[in-house]
Amino acid sequence: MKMLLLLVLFPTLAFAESDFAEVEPLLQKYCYECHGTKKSKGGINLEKSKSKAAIVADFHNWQEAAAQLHAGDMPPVKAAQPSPEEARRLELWIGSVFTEARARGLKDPGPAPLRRLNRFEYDNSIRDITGFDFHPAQNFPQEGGGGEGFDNTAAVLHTSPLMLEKLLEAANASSLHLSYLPGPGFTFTAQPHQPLNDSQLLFFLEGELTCLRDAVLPQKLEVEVDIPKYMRAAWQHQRAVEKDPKANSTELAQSLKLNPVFLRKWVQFLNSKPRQAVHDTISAALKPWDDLKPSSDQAEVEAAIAALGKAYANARSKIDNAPPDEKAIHHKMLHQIKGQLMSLNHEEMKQLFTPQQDAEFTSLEQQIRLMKSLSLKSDKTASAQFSAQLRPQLEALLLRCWRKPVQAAKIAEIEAFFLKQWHQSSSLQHAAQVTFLRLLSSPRFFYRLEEQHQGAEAKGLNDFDLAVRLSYFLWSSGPDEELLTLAAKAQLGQESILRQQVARMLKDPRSRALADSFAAQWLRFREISQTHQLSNQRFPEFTPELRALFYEENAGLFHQFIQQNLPVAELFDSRMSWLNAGLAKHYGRPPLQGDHFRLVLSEDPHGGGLLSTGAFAAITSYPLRTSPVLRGNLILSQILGTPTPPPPPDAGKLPEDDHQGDGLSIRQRLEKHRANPTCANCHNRIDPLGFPLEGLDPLGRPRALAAGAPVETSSELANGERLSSLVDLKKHLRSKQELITRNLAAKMLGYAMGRELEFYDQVTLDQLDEQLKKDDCRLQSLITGIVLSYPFRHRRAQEPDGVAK
Amino acid sequence: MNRRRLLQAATGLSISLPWLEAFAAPKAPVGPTRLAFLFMPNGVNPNTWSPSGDGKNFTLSPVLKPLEPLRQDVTIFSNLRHAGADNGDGHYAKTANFLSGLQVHQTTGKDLRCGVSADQIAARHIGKNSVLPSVELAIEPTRFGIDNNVGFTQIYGGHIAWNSPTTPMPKEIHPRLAFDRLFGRSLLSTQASVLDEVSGDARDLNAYLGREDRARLDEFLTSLRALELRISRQSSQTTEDFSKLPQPAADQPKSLEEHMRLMLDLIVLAFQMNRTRVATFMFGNSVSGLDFSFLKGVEGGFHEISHHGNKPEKLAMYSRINEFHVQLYADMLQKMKSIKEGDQTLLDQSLILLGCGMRDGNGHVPINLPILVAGHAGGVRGGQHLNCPENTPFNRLHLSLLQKVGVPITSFGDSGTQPLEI
Repeated sequence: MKMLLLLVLFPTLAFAESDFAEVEPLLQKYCYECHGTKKSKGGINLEKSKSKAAIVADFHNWQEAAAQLHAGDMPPVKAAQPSPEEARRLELWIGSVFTEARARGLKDPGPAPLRRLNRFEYDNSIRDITGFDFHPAQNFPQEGGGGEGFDNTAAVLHTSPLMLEKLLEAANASSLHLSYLPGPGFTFTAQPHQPLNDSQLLFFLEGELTCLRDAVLPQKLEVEVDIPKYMRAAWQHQRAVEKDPKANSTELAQSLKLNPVFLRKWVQFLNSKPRQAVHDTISAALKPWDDLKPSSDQAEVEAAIAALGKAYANARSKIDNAPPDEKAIHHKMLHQIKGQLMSLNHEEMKQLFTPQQDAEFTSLEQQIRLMKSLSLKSDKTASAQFSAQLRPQLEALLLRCWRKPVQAAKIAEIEAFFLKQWHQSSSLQHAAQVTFLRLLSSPRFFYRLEEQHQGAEAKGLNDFDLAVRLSYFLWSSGPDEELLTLAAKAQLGQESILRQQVARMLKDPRSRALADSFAAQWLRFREISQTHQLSNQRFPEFTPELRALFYEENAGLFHQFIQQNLPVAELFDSRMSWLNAGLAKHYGRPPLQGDHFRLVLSEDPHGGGLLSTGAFAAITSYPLRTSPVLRGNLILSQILGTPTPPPPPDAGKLPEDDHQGDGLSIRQRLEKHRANPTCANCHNRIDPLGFPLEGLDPLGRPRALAAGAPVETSSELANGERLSSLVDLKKHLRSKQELITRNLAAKMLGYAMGRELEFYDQVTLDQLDEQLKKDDCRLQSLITGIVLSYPFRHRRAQEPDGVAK
Repeated sequence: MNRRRLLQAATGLSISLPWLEAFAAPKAPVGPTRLAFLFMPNGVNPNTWSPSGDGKNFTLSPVLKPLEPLRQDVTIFSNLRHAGADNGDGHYAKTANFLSGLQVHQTTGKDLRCGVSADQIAARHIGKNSVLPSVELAIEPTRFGIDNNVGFTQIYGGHIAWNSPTTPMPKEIHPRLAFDRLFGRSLLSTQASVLDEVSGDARDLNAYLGREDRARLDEFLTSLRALELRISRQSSQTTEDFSKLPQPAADQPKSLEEHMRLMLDLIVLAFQMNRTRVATFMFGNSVSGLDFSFLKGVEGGFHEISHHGNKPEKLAMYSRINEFHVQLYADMLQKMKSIKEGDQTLLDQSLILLGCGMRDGNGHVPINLPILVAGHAGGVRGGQHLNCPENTPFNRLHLSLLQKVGVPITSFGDSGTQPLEI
């Protein structure tokens, strides 16, 4: 009776259970012996999944099982074989479990656990906050990988005491690039610097002001040129005023190509009576001028001009030549004249400044005034004025560092922290640096926090969280002003705007992060820069410099493919290379000039694409020789996404070196190896993909001979298709574009989400398949598709016991 | 028996008083006990490792010959194993659990799990009183990514020290950075001044996060507490001047040998100066392909050579590489032996294990592990080949080591309660 009730309530569940019982005997007979609870070869235990739900949860292994059945690779030849009907029934049944689950329209964005910034993201985030690329995170320990194979996977981004120390060191190093000025606020400098205390800062600001003034004021009066010109003009102006009291000295100055401001000063200096105090010697020298009458002739005027010029020149030469105790008086004389002629007020200065200089001048004056009043601690108005400036400056800095607005209380707390630091140190700049340090040392900076919610349903991400997901996906860095502004307006979530933003961000040079972080791990060429080993003796040319070129060749090319929005197959079947002079020479390609990299089209159909690069060749080689197995395996597991199970522990390895004496070529040895049915299963799939690349030596250079014998690049795929060279391999991969795209989509979705994919993600991948087929599997469509996908834009509800207060 | 009587008995002389007083003046206290684990990747040539003869009467194998001058200080173990290392793959499942013996959970990262390692247990007890509870050194960065063929994350292959079943301890691979961490000041006062604030941030967030995220944030808070503790220990200790110590160069070492030697020297120096009492060192990540062709007769990467297929020439190279590791170990022990500590030596106060999580790399054999222990801390005798019964849990040795250095535990993993008699 109870059973019946259950059946009524949960018909599908009950059906599923009975359904499993139908195939269990087959599993027992053919699978569990090796892949069961007692023995789990390759770590695969099918026996633990005794329901459809359990199978769906362990979908990686079960999908693989179906694929193996389909290919006839499992059970292995030496084991009991199912009849073709049995194999087919089992395969179809496994398939139906997944079809059924997908048909239920699973919608689950999956977990989105807290992610710490990894080394690369930390460096980029700081670069984009400060505007300078100084790699504060270079000493972080290398993060291992997880999820779909990437070091941005939440689950592997641990924080240990060592890691925390490194985080704080990096925050400190970054904070030394911050400068603060009352007024302009936070600015950054290329070089780290110790902060100035407030009196030093005031001195510095005044110095800046003087420099700015000096930049537009003449440093000295030229006796031969300036004095006669301005005095003649002043005389002319005087005459004009007599005729018309409204006469304008500015027009006169312009017509004589003199500076109107200075002419006004000269007029004032020469014609005002009584004159401001000057030294007697100067008064005496001005006597001829003062004695001039309207009727005086030009000769008298020139004599008056010469008198002042002579006195001025005399004073100037005395500064150099007079006995020390007389020097001061001559200095004073010159300063009196210059002081009267050149001490300009702001209005007068304005006419000499460019608008930018003027703004700077105004700001400096304000800063100095503020610094001076702030130094009188009792000046309440100044403090209030300062606080009013500081608050929005802090808010802006907070937004850049923490990537989302925070509550007013938190801002007040940060402000109080700033002020406390300031009062303790009497250094605004110190307070600013410590405040920046405090923001960067916070988990809110180095963890990516998303808004959480409770309930049963997943929810759309808020715009700020979406901006963060987007910018770390495409740039491995924090969101820029534009993204933050769109988020603040709550517009980023709109599909059309998201599309625009993705297009903009991919055009931006920062999208290079997709090559340096995503592709370098997916295709493993990151190994080239650091860990991969080739024998130094055999390949002395494998220097750090060549490694760096190899790396750039791959990363730059991948970035080009993205920016040009090429179809996925082009990554491998292309004639495009990314080369500079050094690499062209290394490969024996037509010479290029210069160290900069550029796109080069290969005449030879073997060249071009990511398979024929030095990095690909090197990371798939042993220290002394190439390896068709490693090359085939990289294509099979990373590019096609169909890895083979691991070799049995005691599988033989080929010799280290292809320069060996037993007369067998690598091919002959591998053929011997494949004669063993245990090995053949996988090697029939692996080796044929590797042989066509044998024409490239461990450093990617074309070769016709290996170990003295002609290289053999032809092979036969398990389905009988023949590949005679790298060109055929490229064509073959093009024919597999949809398979490659599906794999790339899975990797990229895992990368974007920072987690391993689960069964429900297959729904997203199916949808991406559909979209991309219509668009020749173009890279930007793939990236946009991921951004627009359900998991990328949603967040699961918080688990029930994580009750928020 | 007091020291004077002992001395008289030993020398048969009566000694004039002033000298005696000088002698009896407080001496450097007997140093604390230290513990280090040195890990070799890729196994050993099984034919050339073990000594012949048991107990005290043993003859060192050619590969262990560098230990001849130290034979009274070393114990060689045969027939130890980790039952937990049987399953899984050939390497990762025999590396991450080297110091815990538990099974390594197969994962690409989302649910890392293996045991808390012996060094970390020791760090919690004897590490309490040194500036750093433990240090983790290595020469290779952890490889990125996952090993697709076996479905394990490379994290497992790069870490033998595990602070919790889910948290590996990252390693320092740069000699100068390791030196600075050991002998420099941990933080500037400005940095220390923000710690209160950021732990406040973390507490705010804690209330807001879900269960799994809270566990992640807990790692942060735990690290923060460790750091605060370190700062307080540092300031409570007399400020020693380390500026006279020879510092490693800021560049990466030029050769593999130099790199390995520098890291081992740092462990000795850190032990001598009591900056830490617990250390781990990895000569390489599992599956390490390091190039040892600087050794005469060796050509090719370590991992490839370890899959020797019983070819004599490859077995010879394999032995040569093993011997090189043993040589560096012996040189490290000699240094420790030359450092006086009270009337003993640093080596007398230490236990230094060298070993690997598999025996023959060719078949990734997880039994009869190659394990050596040197030093006499806690009264370890040394000078013997301890040929244990087959399949003796390696954890019984870990239990002994932990007890000898003063960790009050009664069992460790599958050790049972009987430590190995050493």
